[in-house]
Amino acid sequence: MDAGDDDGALMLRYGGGDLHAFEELYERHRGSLYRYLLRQCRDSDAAADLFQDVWGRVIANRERYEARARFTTYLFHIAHNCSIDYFRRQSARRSAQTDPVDDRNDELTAPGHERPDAQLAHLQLETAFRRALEALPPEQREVFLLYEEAELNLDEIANITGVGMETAKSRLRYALNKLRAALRDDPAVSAQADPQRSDRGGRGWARE
Amino acid sequence: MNNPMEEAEFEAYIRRRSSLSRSYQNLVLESPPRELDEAVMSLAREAHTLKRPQRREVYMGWMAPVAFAATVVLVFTVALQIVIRPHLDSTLADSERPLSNIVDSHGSREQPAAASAPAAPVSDKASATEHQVVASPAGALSSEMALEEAKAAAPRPGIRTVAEKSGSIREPTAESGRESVTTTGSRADAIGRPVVDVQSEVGRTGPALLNRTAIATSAPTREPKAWLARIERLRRDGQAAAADEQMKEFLTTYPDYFRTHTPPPDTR
Repeated sequence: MDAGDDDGALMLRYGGGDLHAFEELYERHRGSLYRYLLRQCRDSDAAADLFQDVWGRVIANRERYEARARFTTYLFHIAHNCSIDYFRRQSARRSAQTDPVDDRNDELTAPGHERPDAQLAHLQLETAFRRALEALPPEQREVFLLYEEAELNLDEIANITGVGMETAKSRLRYALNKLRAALRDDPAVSAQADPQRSDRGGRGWARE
Repeated sequence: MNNPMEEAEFEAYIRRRSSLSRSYQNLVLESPPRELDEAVMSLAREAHTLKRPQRREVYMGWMAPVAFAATVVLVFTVALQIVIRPHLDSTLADSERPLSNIVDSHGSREQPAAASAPAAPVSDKASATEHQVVASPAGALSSEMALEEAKAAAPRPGIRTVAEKSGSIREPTAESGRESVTTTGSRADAIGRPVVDVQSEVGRTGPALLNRTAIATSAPTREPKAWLARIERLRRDGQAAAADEQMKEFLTTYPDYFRTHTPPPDTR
């Protein structure tokens, strides 16, 4: 049984009243779901609210859950709908938003055992990645996040976002190209590229 | 059009063999705050402990359709009372109107004649006999005969039958002495028996007479076989006199009947 089937079984067990099954399920998906929401709405408070909302819906619908698709697809489908609702609510206030990257710089953490220069490099890389990610159009960013965080395939992403598979694929392609271009142009990132790849041109980290 | 290099990179990315993907996975470390974990877990525990009993869910499943059906029935009933009932009432009133029309159209002209006619005892007798009609179908014909006799004895020249006025009824026969008996047009045709002069009597006895008359008109017919059966029933009940009177009346009405039919044993 693979992880997807396992998740479905856990959810069914939870629907039958097994609270431990939910704890295990939650532990598996809490990080990816939280990051997806955080990247999508770019506001930690809103992400926390949405996170709670998504799990609340999973809990409320536990007895109606049917393992027709992977649990991850089910979970991120709910998350997608919640984020859409959030964006609709926020559309009037969008102009008042501040730069979330700068606000969250102090939240970034790095492994404590690393050297200060490595921590700095890690921070710089992460900041550059965030900037590049936030610069993406929302549709492309969502496809990228679903692909990376939820580890869904293009078919599942297309199903969740309500578009055709070719559209989802195209969005992902555009997202990758823009991310690569943004990271290539970022000097802080270029300096951290793999030494061997740097020797080959200094920007090879973003490409295989 | 994508260039081949980008296409190759994308294919590598799709196979999750891209350095970009690995870099993203290595860099991203955020996780939900502990308070958020607690909030979600408490939500799950709460839902777990407050799980509704299955029985209630089944009950709730019934509630919606039952409530809907009850609402439909209620609305239909109210609509029936408000919209259709008055219409039905008016239709009923219309169906009762012909009898009233007789009174309305003739009463004003004939009532004085009826009031001045020296036939008060007759009408009393008629009323009494009509009560007998209501009480006992067997006495219906004898009461009619009495009524006819009374009216024959006190003819009222001003009274014409409704059917006579409309010209849709046969002329009364002289031997039966029905000149003074008013029929109600098509109804008299249908049942073949006379009806009490309603318009003359209503002036004295009021609407109650209308009801009695309506009942009287619904009395047994003078269809020969049924009439003979009634006569036979009267004999069986020991009312020989009434039976004889009926038979006399029968023979008056159908003088040639027993030429073509075998008479019943009692009458031979």
